[in-house]
Amino acid sequence: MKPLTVSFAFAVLAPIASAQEASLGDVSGMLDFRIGGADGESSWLDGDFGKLGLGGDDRDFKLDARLARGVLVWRPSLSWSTDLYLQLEVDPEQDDVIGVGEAYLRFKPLPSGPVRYSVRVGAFYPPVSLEHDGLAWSTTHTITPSAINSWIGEEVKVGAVEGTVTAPLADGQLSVTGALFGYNDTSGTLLTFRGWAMHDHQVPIGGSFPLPERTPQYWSFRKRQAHKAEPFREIDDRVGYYARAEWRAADPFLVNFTYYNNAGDGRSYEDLQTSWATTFSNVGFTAALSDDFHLFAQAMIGKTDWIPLANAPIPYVDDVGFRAVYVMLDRAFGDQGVALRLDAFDTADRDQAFSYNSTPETGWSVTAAWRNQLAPGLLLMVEGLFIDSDRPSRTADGIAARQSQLQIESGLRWEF
Amino acid sequence: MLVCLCASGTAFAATVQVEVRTPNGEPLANAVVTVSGPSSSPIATPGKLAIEQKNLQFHPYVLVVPRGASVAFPNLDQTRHHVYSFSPTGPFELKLFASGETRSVKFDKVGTIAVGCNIHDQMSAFIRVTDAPWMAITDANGVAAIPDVEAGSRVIEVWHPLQSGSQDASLKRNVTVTANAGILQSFELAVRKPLKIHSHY
Repeated sequence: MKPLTVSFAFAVLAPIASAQEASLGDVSGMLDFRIGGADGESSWLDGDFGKLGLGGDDRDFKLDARLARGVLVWRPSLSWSTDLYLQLEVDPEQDDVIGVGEAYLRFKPLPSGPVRYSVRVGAFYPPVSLEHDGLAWSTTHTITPSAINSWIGEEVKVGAVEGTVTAPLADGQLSVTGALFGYNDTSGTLLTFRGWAMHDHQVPIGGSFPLPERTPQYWSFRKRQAHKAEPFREIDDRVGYYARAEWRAADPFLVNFTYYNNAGDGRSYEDLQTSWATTFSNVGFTAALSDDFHLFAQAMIGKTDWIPLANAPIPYVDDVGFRAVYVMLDRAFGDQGVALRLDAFDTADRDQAFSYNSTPETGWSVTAAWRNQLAPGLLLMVEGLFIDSDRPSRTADGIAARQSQLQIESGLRWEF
Repeated sequence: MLVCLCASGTAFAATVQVEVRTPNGEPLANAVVTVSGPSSSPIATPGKLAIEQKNLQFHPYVLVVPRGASVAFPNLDQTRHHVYSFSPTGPFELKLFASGETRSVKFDKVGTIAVGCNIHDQMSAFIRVTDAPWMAITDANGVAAIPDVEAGSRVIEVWHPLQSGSQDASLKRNVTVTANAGILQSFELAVRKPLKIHSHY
């Protein structure tokens, strides 16, 4: 067992030893049914360049009805201040149809004053997304999350020890979070070989996602990179970290900043998965324009690199920069609501080591969604999403670099 | 001062009606209104003295009680709650198991008690403990009516948990209550609007 694995297991088990006043806790869950379709390219989930969860049939609009997601969440308590969070996922579109989404132990002592502390240990998403505020990391304003948070969902799940301190400050509230993590060494693989995408598939622990089959870059390094990315994986035994600060002001807005560094060495690899050196900074902003009218925005900038041919006379470094931003307006009308979101994203080949220009892309998207809370626990959503992107590596597949797609989807979500 | 014709059922008493609005003119609910007087013992306590836990929320959000009162905390949810306050006025901790368990806390000091649940961060409530003999909480129209206030010189005090500035401060106004002649007083109070967005994390 690797040292990182040993220390991780110890950190998980230590608080359990002193557990008292345990409770079986609650079980909740969700079933999310969809009817919808898209035109244009086939989905990236089918090993193509399509940027959405759905794709066209020979570029024509293809309709699809399916169970998109099933979730069971169990929250037993080990004591009055320690509980466990276990999230079982069903996603028929993935190779691992059944998987574990998040699993962590949370220690939250009773506050003796205005300052509060909490610690999480386990596998979970870093607190980056402003969109996933529903049960089991689900979105509540749109069906499809932004490009930024689609990527968090597919490639930024960590095995971490995370601590948070929250204190009142000037009629508001300041939260500071720090974490040490592993099991996220391959983060950046999808952004490099495929680019940005917009979908609501989330990587389970140990899960994988396909890479586009025909990118020249993939074929160049097929002896170092499998035809899939395994995001929750420890390879180089180095400890990454993230730090976050969030300010909830007395006036109704919040702003947060997160810095993430997986401390990947860019060289280590096993089973054709490589440790990428990935860092990013994310800024999030939310404001209540009125009681029922909210603005959400996030901006992310980062880079990821690896040294795929470290032993060559001239070691090639593949250095990819990535940026994305979105702004979303949400207006609630009682049990109903509408959301409108604009996304923009790009990736850049910073080293320009490859003459075939395989990693750069630019793109944008507009998403409009309507929701209706039909009954407690029963949510109907309808969404239209248009995306346009320019990625020169598509030409290696014999298609134009610039592609656009329209996806229209309705979802019926039952929470219990 | 606006005067209305509010007859009272008690001799030498009248109804005091208070209307609280924000600077924008919006009615302000959940403001605590008390009327002080020479009488040292509480005359009336509005509603039942309990804060329920239901659907992962406290009900009511604001409760006003006389000093020395006991407040019950019945848990009507199917999950357990860890109810607490670290307010110096009345710190307490209750471990409430699911479905109906009730425990009570007695509050002997005058002041404000912020109540939370350590398991569910979104749960929040406030208890205002007072020595005043008459008390009420404004409704959705920002109005509180207190009947049977003894005639004489009185002090009306208005407080809200989200008021701007110090949480211990309050608006006070001296009034004269005349027997069988109700009065209507209007107050303006600026409040904060905390985000109704709760983090998953």
